[in-house]
Amino acid sequence: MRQFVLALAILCSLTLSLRAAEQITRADQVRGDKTDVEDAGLWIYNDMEKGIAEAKSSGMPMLVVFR
Amino acid sequence: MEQFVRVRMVQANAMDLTRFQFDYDLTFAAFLMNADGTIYGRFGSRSSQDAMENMSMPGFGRALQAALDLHDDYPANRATLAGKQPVTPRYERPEQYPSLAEYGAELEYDGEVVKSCMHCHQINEAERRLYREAKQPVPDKVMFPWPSPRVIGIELDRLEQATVSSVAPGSPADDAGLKAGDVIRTVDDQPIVSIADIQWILHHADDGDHIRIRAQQAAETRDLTVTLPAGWRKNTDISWRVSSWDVRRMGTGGLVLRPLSDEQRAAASVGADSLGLRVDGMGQWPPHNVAKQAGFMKEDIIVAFDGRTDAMTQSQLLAYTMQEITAGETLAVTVLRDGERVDLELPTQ
Repeated sequence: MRQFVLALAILCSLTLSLRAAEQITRADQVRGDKTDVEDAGLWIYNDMEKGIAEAKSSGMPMLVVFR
Repeated sequence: MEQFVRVRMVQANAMDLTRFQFDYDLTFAAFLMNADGTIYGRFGSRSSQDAMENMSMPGFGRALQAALDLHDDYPANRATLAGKQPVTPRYERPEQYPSLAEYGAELEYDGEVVKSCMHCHQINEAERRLYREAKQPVPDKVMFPWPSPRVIGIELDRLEQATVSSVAPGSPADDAGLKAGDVIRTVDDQPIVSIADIQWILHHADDGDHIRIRAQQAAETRDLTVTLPAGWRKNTDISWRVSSWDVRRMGTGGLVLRPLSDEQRAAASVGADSLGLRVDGMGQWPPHNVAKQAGFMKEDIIVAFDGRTDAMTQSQLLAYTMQEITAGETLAVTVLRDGERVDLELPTQ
């Protein structure tokens, strides 16, 4: 019985750790996406007003993607 | 793409709903527009579980080229673009919906960034909840948004801009004379950049409306009129939509349903004209687990739902619960389980 309780405790602990890791990973992915896109410089990130200003000054059309 | 100023939006928080009106259940949507806000076209379509069924990179490339052509002709072509422009929305920002009021305008990058991010599909959910919580039926336009051209019999080639790959026999498009191989140039005088542009027009159309299509095949151009029959919109499949999870929660207690195959119907002695939807799964946690609590089981076959025994798709059943059933009612449901009829009571939300 004691071994079963111990195994259950380890399993719960492992599950909670994995869940925490998943949450950290997802949040990190969101933050990493922002950094990656901004560093690459190919897209204006989440700033519509900046995009409009750039399109007005360049005379180019805009491609606005929701993703 | 380098001929465009490229902006990537990653959140629905503070989205300008007066400008950005699209199918909010999409995982990818694009606007091709002028800096003054004039929309040349939209890209991004979906009509089933397969997210890429209606989209492709070649199709996206053709939409971009079409937008560049419209940009070259702008503003001389302004009048032809008038029908593509946004209509007055209920709210200017998503956070103004009561069910989305908890969200801020910005993502909390230094805090709980995932929790702070409002998803686009939540806008569709918030719109439906307005009706549900007011105990009013959800209108067809809200229940079946952004209908696929398939609903009126048009299959479009996802690799092209707007080329008809097939026309369903006997459909409104067939009656109008549309043919496979036709390139749809304009609909209601609006230049068509992609499938999404046709969906924009259908989204705003009503029963009995006449949709004018200019189709080209080789050197021949034809002007056709598609008449939308009563109830045309109700044939739209909404089961793939993320926002339909919220409908399932409210109307079916979280049930995920699948149609019976011909073989399954025969084995269960369920006729082709009779209701036969198999329980493929159900929500396990509140508030999506009402059906589970009510005793539904996977593989149950629903054969009677609130007294209805006529054949319905999952989408039609979901719509029935949102349009004919008031939140809080309890429904009598009969299922077949191991060949036996079992009566259950299903509370709605």
